[in-house]
Amino acid sequence: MRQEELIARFAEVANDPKGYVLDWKKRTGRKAFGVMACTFGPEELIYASGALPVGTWGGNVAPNEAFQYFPTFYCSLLTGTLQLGMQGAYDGVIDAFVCGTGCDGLQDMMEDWKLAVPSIPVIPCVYPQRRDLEICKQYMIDELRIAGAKMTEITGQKVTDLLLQKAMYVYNEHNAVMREFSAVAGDHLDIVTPLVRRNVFKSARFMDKAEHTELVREFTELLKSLPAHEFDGVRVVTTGIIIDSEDMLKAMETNRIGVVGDSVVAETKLYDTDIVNGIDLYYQLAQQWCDRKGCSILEDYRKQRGPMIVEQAKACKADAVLVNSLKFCEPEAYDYPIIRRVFAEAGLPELHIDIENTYSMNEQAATRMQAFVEMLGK
Amino acid sequence: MYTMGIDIGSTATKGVIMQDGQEIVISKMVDVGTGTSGVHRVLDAILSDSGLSLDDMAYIIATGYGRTNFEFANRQMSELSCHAKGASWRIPEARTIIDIGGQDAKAIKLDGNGGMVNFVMNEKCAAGTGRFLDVMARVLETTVDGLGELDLRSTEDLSITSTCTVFAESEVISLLSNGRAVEDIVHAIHESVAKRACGLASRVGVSDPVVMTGGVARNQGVVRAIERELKREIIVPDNPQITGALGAALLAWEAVK
Repeated sequence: MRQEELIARFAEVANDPKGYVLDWKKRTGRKAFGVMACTFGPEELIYASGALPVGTWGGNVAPNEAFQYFPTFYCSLLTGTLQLGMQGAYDGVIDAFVCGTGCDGLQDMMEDWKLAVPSIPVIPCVYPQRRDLEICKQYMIDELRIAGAKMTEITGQKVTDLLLQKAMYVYNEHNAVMREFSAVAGDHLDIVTPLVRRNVFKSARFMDKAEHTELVREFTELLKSLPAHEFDGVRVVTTGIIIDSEDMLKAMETNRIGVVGDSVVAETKLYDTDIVNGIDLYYQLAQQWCDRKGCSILEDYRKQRGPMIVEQAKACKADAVLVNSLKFCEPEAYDYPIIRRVFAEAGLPELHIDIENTYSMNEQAATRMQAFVEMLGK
Repeated sequence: MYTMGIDIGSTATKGVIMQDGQEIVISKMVDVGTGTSGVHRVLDAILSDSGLSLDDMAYIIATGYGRTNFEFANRQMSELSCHAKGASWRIPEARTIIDIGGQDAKAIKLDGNGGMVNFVMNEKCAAGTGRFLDVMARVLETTVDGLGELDLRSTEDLSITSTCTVFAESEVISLLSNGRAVEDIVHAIHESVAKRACGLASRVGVSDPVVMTGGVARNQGVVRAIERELKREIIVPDNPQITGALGAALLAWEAVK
């Protein structure tokens, strides 16, 4: 029974993040800051400033007004988020919008937001891309300190070393719990369907991490107490930036595709790199950024993403990889030919689906999934 | 034993009844697809013309975009598996299939025994599909079926460079305004479709023999353009548009034989 309650709670927050954030603000009397998708925003810093970090990853919305700022074919995460800002969906919900510049579109986004959504101030926090250079950490420390000062101006709470250290602890603990959940969920694909799995990860993007940690830990312990489920469908490792379409997730379930692991930015990639111990807390945050690897939206000099996914697929006993590219996402498009070759060389079957995060219905994606399962003889 | 395959596509519906997985008893097509009366019209036609009833069918498989909405189907399968099966039955040695339908283009790689080993479909938009040709035929005041004949009379190479159907339509209108011959514009349109289809095919790897299926395979202008682009012969079976329904009927027979 508790299992159903937890699943329902994850779904509730995932489907109504605004409700959760407004309730959290009412309970705590504190502020909430939006964190732009794909930026690995400085959530620990936001948390230490007393605000709730809230992921802004667009949504199922027609970005008609946002097309004033972006071409009509542009990245749906950017246009969807800007549209929600322009139509007032974030008014009273987030008190500032923290944005970096991980790709060309994000550079535009930060400036466009200032014009398009003047009611919600932008806190820029531009992460360095040359993560192999020591100097980039020095630059990032300065950037984090400036961003932290701007956060304090809004929340009124100074980011002390003690608060930041506490925030880092909360986040590292959450990272560990999410990684364990991901590992355990692969043995319970009857319970952790693609949609349930998405809800666990999606709710994490909005909830207070301390609260989310407790729920996920409890859910994982419940799963661990059950015998492993023998799944007779196709076990996949997913990769991409975000897999959020409910229709697509339901199509995966209909076609007996179970997710045994992921290399998805909005899912495990947010939690796969901890903050290491050190003396300078800001340096530790910069080091965490430099330690991230195998992700399309980060500079990947050694092209580690493909080999990492192959290793992950072996470890998870996956049958295949499901590559979910966001339409017109340049970093994803650059990566795809490289990882595709790696999968082919490893003999790992791969299904490539190219969708937008804005519109839910995608019949062609469902056809590809069915054909893929049929091709694998499942 | 009779089995039925119904392919409910985006712009056309096709039906095939087979006997013992050996003989095509009947095949029919109507030029309207999912969400229309096409399904029941095809069903009525293949049953009444063959003198058979639904009770005579040992197994029915539905495929195509509307596959989940056919209440009489025992099972739904993807059109990729069905095209692979249907094309292999007709051309057993087939290794590559290029299928261009109403709003999808697909390239399928076969293992030589009719098994599908890889596939790709068009992404992002419907440029280079049957719908693209529908739009262009309308602008040129002709029919899709008339495009192949016009292509044969082309004397000058032109090019359509826009990928987007709407922009390509503007390009065609500009060429017409500049007094270019309709035949040459049609030829350029076919080259444009061929380049996109061959781009897909190259992603799965092209091996001979290459078979083309789907309604667009009836357009000899597109087939010739693909042959030029791939520098190899393309085999087009009779009634290429029923290949998916045929494959569905064959898979239905395999399910119960």
